Formats: sequence, C-alpha cells, structure tokens
Amino acid sequence: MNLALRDIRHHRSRFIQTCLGLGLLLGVVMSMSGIYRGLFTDATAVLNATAADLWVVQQDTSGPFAATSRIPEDIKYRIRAVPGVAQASALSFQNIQSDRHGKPFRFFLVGYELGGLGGPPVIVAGRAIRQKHYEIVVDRAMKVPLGETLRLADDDYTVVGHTARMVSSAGDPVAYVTLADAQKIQFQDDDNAIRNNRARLAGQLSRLPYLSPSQASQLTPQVAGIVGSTHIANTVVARLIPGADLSQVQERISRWNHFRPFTAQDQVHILTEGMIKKAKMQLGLFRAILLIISGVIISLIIYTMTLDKLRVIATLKLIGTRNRVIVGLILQQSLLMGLIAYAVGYTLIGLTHDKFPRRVDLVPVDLIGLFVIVLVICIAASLVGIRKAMRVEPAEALGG
Amino acid sequence: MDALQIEKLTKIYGSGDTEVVALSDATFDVAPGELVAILGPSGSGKTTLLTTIGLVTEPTRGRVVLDGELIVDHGWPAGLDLKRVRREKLGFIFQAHNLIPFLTTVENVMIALENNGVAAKEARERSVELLRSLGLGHRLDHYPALLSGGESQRTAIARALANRPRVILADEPTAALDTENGKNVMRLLKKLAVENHSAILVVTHDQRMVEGFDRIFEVSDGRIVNERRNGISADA
Ligand SMILES: Nc1ncnc2c1ncn2[C@@H]1O[C@H](COP(=O)(O)OP(=O)(O)OP(=O)(O)O)[C@@H](O)[C@H]1O
Ligand SMILES: [Mg+2]
Repeated sequence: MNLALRDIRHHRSRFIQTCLGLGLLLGVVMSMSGIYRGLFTDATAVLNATAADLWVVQQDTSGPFAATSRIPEDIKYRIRAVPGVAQASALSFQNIQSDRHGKPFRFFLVGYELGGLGGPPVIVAGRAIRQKHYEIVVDRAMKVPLGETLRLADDDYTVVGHTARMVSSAGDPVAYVTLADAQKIQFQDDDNAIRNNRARLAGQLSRLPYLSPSQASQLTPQVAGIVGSTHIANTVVARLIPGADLSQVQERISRWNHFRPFTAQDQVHILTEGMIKKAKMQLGLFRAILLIISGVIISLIIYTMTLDKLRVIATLKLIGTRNRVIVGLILQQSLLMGLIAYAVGYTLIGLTHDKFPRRVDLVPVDLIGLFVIVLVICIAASLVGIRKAMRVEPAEALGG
Repeated sequence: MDALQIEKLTKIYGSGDTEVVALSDATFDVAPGELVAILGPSGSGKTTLLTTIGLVTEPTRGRVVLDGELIVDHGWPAGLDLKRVRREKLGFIFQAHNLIPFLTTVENVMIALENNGVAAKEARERSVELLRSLGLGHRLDHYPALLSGGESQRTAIARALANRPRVILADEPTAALDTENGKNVMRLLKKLAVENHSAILVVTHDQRMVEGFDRIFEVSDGRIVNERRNGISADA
C-alpha cells in the first residue's frame, strides 16, 4: 500500500491546486531562462545569419551593431584582393521607424548586394529579391503580407518574401533590400535638400578668390557628387577560403588606415559584453531570484505538508510502521509534487513560448538544469520534513 | 508462559521540585487471554501504566517481560527494536482512536498487517474478513471522517487485533461512546480476547464497563491499591 498516493488521493484537489500553482511558478522560471537565452540569440541573429569571418568597419568604432560605422563601399574590392579572402560584400544597416495603419512601425533594414553575403538566410514564404530596386523581403513578425508595398524614403517597395525569426540586436524585425536601395534610403536627401545643398555649395565656391565664376559653376556638380556620395556602407564582411589563417588576414587589414577588422567572435563579444550585458545581468538576476523564491515556496509547502501529518506519523510509529515507510511517504509526495509541477510548467511554456513578443529559447541545458534544481529542492525540503518526522514520539498519537 | 510479567514498574516524570511519580512499583502478571481492567481517578497513572508496557514511554525502573522477551530492564534494553515489538506483539486502542484520516476503513486495518510483511492482497482479505466480523462490512471503503464514534472504535479494534498480538492495550476505548455502544465495544473486546487468546488490559473510568473481566486493578497515586479477581476483592 502506497501511503503517499493514498494521502494525495484523499486531498486530491488541494494537491492538484498546489501543483498547478507551483507549475505556474516554474513556468515563469522557465520563460525567464528562455527570455535570457532568447536575448542572446536575438542579439546575434544578424551576425550569425551573415556567417562572415571578418567584419571590417570604420576605424576607432565598434560597429556596425554597437556603434555607427561608415566606410566606402568600394573598400570591398581591396579586401577581396587580400590573400585568403574568398568573398567580401558591403552591407548597410539602419533602423527605420515609420507609421503603418496609424501605429509606429519599427524595423531594422539590411542592405545587401544581390548574390553577396548578408542577405536573408532563409525565405519561408515568397521569394528572394531578384531585381536591383524596389523589392523588399521582410520578417514574418512585421506582419506585412506578400505583395503589399512599403513606402520608404519616397519610394514604394514591394514585399516579395518573408523570413522567420530574424531580429536585430534590439529585438526589432529585420527587412532586406538591395544595398543600392538601402543607400538611397539611408543617404539620399530629398530633392529640396539637394537643391539647397547645391545652392549653398555654389555660393561657397564662388566666394573662393582663386576660382573664376565659370570654374566655380563647373566644379559645383562634381563637388556635390563627391560630398553627397551615397556609395557608403556600414561594414564590409568577408568570408575566407577554407584553411586560410583568420588572424593573418585580420592582421593585414588592420594595418590599413581608416579600417578595423573584427572577427565574428569579436562581434559576439561586443554584442554580448557590451550591448546586452546589462539586460542579461538584469534577466539573470531576476531568474536567480525567481529560483530562490521557488525553492523557498516548494520547501515551505513540503514542510507544511509534513507538519500536517505529524499526528499521522505518530500513529504510524505507534503501530510499529517502519521508518522506511514514513520516509517514503514524505519523499515520494514531495518528488511527485515537484515532477507534476515541473510538467505543468513545461507544458504551459511549451504552449505559449511562441506567443511572447520576443524570442523565448527553451534550451535543454536550462530545462534539465531546472529539473535537477527542482528535484534537489524537493529532496532537501523533504529531508527537513523527514528530520522532523523522525523526532515525532509515538506518544503524540495518544493525546486527545 | 505468561503473556506479560511486570515487576516494580516505575515511572517518574521530571526531577527535583517538579518530580511526579506517575507509576510506582507496579507488579503483576497477565496470562494469555486474560482480561484485565484498570480503574482509577484522573491522574492516577493508568495511561502511564499502559504506555510504559507499550514501549511508548520509557520507564524509570522495573522490568517487563512480554511473551518471553525482556522489553523493559530499568529502561529500554539497548538494541531493542521498539517498533518491531509494537507491531508484532502489541495492539493499541485509544480513546482518540487514531485512525489514519487518508486511509479507508479497510486500509487502516491493512496497514497493520502490511507492517508485518503480509502481502497486500492477503492483508486486504484478512482485513475485510475481520471488519465484517465486527459488523463493518458496509463501511469498508469509508474514510474515518465519515464513521460514527462506535464504527471508528471498532475499526481501531480491528487494527489492534489484525496481527493477533499477545497483548492488547486499550486506554478508555469507550470514553467517546454512549453507554450502549461502550458496552458493545467491551463485549466485543472480551469475545476477541477469548477467540484470539490475547491478553487485554483496558483502562476505564467507568465501573459499569468492567463486568465479566478476569481481574480488576484499582490505581491511585501511581500505585495499584486493590486487585479483584473474578469479583473477589483482595488488597494488593
Ligand atoms: N509527559 C508527562 N510529563 C510530566 N508528567 C506527566 C506526563 N504524563 C503524565 N504525567 C503525570 O503523571 C501522572 C499520571 O498521568 P496519567 O496520564 O497516567 O494519568 P491517568 O490515570 O491516565 O489520568 P486520566 O484518567 O486523566 O487519563 C499525572 O500526574 C500526570 O500529570
Ligand atoms: Mg489517561
């Protein structure tokens, strides 16, 4: 006869309620771990999707994710010429906030060269960009159907494809256009601004004493072309040929003026140690606090369950029940409660983790870790209860 | 062989100013199947007598031999497995009948058998049979909370008897019952003692309950002051 199950059967609804309550708590702990992991996955999503070995950015910056970096697009040709480099492409990154259906609409726009690195990793619906202009691939999370258009910097872009779960390090969904389009959106001013700039430039040039008025007016469009050049990227990424020495390539590029080559590893470091460090610490701390709270609650529940049974335990001792049976009663109950609560929490989070606004990554290590922690808490708490139970005198069963 | 031999059994609670001599030099033997009643005013040491014999309270002095086994020798002998003695040789019935609230009637009896290694199936069969014989056949799957006082007490009796112990210790088993039920329970105890050949020691306040007992001890201030055998009185 299993006393633990008999007791639970008798207090069925109370036991189930306790398990559900604990299950909710454990579900929150699991989601917290998932959010913590998700933060990291999100932060490195674009980095990983690009799968580049080197990220060349503007000197003295930690771009392109953590800081602004501007480099001329054509540096990619020079990088391609470095021995060991298989492929190099320029990328542009920008945050866009506009309105859509009257609501603020934020996303992270990646400009990439067709056929180059850094484009959408997987298209889950529709197709990739084929034309050089006015096509856009957006993440599913943006909820813009295929075929619809988005207006960006005076032009309409047609949504031709969807990616899944591509987010920026800030958690905003990612959209892709060609590099040329992205540059246009990022750097090209509207027509009025261009006219004003030209007029100002012409005025400045005509005031230079060593230029004749005709020279000045001839120079104006050329200077304007250089100053207003849109052939700017935020980074040039490179992939090496297999077996090439990464540090050698890095070392070589770092000797050039004006550029700074980061390895993918460096970028991970910049992202996790810099950008999301505080958020991670915050979440990590919160997760730890939640775990402690769960531990205290589970312990209290199990201890109270034992206290409720002291009289029963005294009676069992009086009629000569072996300690093994009494220990089993307490231990089995607390383990069963832990297991059921864990299962409840797991089911709950399994059903809902997709619906969180940001990614919740349920990592086996975390889940198993929590499982072990719950078991340890249950066992530790029942040990306290068992200690108490072992001290109960059979005489306590006799009092009225 | 006597079921129980008690020699100068003494229990002193506390020490110094707060010392209470709850039981003083109790000496008597009980034969198998003998029915013994213990009468006395409140605080006279009746419960103490039962709990010291029952290995629940450790005596201060004295000797107890239960079924040939020395279980008290100036206290509990080192290495004596108290629980084994309790589950194999003793049965307890108390005023607060102490049924396990989360076990059904039949399970409350079964546990005593399972404690002694009886397999679940056999334990159930024997428990059902015993409960039927006590008129509880219709209450087998009820929880204690749903039983009447008399039914609870009969269940407790079934549990105490399940292992056919050498000695049954009953502390005011009828106190929570009305006279009619009380008499029924006493009659039942007597019948079972005879059938099972168990010695029974019953503590009671109530003179009316003791008719038909083999011996009646009167206890006062921790001492056995009077012993009547089959109604014949003799000073202890
Ligand atoms: N655990 C204890 N600690 C100290 N004194 C105790 C303890 N148990 C009993 N006593 C004392 O021992 C004496 C005998 O108590 P006992 O319970 O044996 O009396 P009783 O005859 O069963 O009384 P009642 O009829 O009220 O049940 C009393 O004076 C009581 O106060
Ligand atoms: Mg008493």
